[in-house]
Amino acid sequence: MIEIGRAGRWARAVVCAVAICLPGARCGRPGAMHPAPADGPKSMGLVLVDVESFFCGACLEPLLEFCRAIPVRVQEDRLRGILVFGAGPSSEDVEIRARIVAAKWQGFSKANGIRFPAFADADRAFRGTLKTGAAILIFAERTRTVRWYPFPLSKDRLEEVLRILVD
Amino acid sequence: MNMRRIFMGFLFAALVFGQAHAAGGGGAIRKVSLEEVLSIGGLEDQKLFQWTGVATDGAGNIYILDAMDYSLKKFGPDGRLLKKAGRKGQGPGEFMAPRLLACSGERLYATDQNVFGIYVFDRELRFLEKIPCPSLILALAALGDGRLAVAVMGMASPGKVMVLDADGRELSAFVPAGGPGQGILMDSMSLAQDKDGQFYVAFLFRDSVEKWTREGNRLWSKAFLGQKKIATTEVQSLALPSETCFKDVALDASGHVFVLGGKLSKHPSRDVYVLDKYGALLATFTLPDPSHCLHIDSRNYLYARANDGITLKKYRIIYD
Repeated sequence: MIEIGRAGRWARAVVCAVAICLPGARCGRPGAMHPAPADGPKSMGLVLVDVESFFCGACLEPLLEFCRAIPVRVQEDRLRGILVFGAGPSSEDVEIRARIVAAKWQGFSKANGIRFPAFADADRAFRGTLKTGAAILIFAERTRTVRWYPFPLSKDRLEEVLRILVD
Repeated sequence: MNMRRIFMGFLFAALVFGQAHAAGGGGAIRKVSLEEVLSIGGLEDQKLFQWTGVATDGAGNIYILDAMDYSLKKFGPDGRLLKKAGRKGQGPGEFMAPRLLACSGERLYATDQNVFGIYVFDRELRFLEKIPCPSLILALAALGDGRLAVAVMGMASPGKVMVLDADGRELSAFVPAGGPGQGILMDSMSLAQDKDGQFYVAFLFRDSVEKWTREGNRLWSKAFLGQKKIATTEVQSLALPSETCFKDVALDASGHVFVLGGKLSKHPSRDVYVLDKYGALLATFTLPDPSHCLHIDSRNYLYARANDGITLKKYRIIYD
């Protein structure tokens, strides 16, 4: 695990803001593979995706593996995505670039069965935080801690993330 | 095979591609400009997400490969989505990384980045067959009567241009190598064939546009970008070229040669060099948006990318 401090102060502030905005305890029905979470506050996850990885199938495979392992209801209720992007191929402004990135995600996520919604990092607060194509930031409700898991996840790490998310 | 995949992925990212088409002739023009006549796909409509290959038929229909949702789409002349086919996978009619597209007669020819072969569809997007190819395909042109021209990737040997029959049998081949900077990916190219069967080749990483006879004799070679040295970047301890020179070549109905400049052009991925059939530079113009490819249909409409691949623009070419 890597300390969240590596993401920078500004990113930390944004993470907190996003975390507060994440949907609360709406999860009720069981997922495909895991028991239904109990009522009360729930652990949440923020999946960071480097949009440049869209061009590299091998880079994205760990993310797709992760999504295949996470029950649909957990994806929909407990996960949100941040689409991290760099400069575009032209001088279009960041706002347009963010909308382009978000539009691409629509096609990609639908075609790959990814069910959590994702949002483009329009202020580029997360730029430079990803060394691999994707990572997940877990807000563990039980321990009140934030954990950072760069992809690819080992089997043990994946189990750990799953356990926290359905806790 | 893994190395090939890495290289193909590298190419994908470096350019996002090249392909081709056909014509003849080549007269004097001094200025070329564009008038937009159609736009397909936008920020909200979810028609296109990352289009890669485009082809057109005689009826004005537009066929587009989309790498983001692994599909082949057919649009009418008015830009309306008529049909969509394909999904992620390696079965018949499925794609993992759709890339090049060409249309000839009733058939569409599509490539997948890491597949040794060409997928054939009819114009209703029904999968028909797969034509085998001995190597990964970098460029594709449909020559009519079922023949195809492909530029294939070389590993131990240089890449080459091959003409295949409808069953994938090699009819002829030549190696458009030569000039500086031999090495991995250095033979990446796009190609087009004119009405006389002669080939135009534009190199992705070399400042060189060339014309070759079908027998494999080079007629001319031109440079337009002033490249002094081929810049490289290290990828998994291999030095791979990093600055693109020419991303695509296409011919209009009169045989003018349109070459899309890459990173080394003044306006990266936007400048288009218009040549006559002897390689003389007639004009240059600049696309409104960066593009990875050019397509010119039989009515002299030019197709290029906008919005980083979620939009395809169709332009009327205006000659002065």
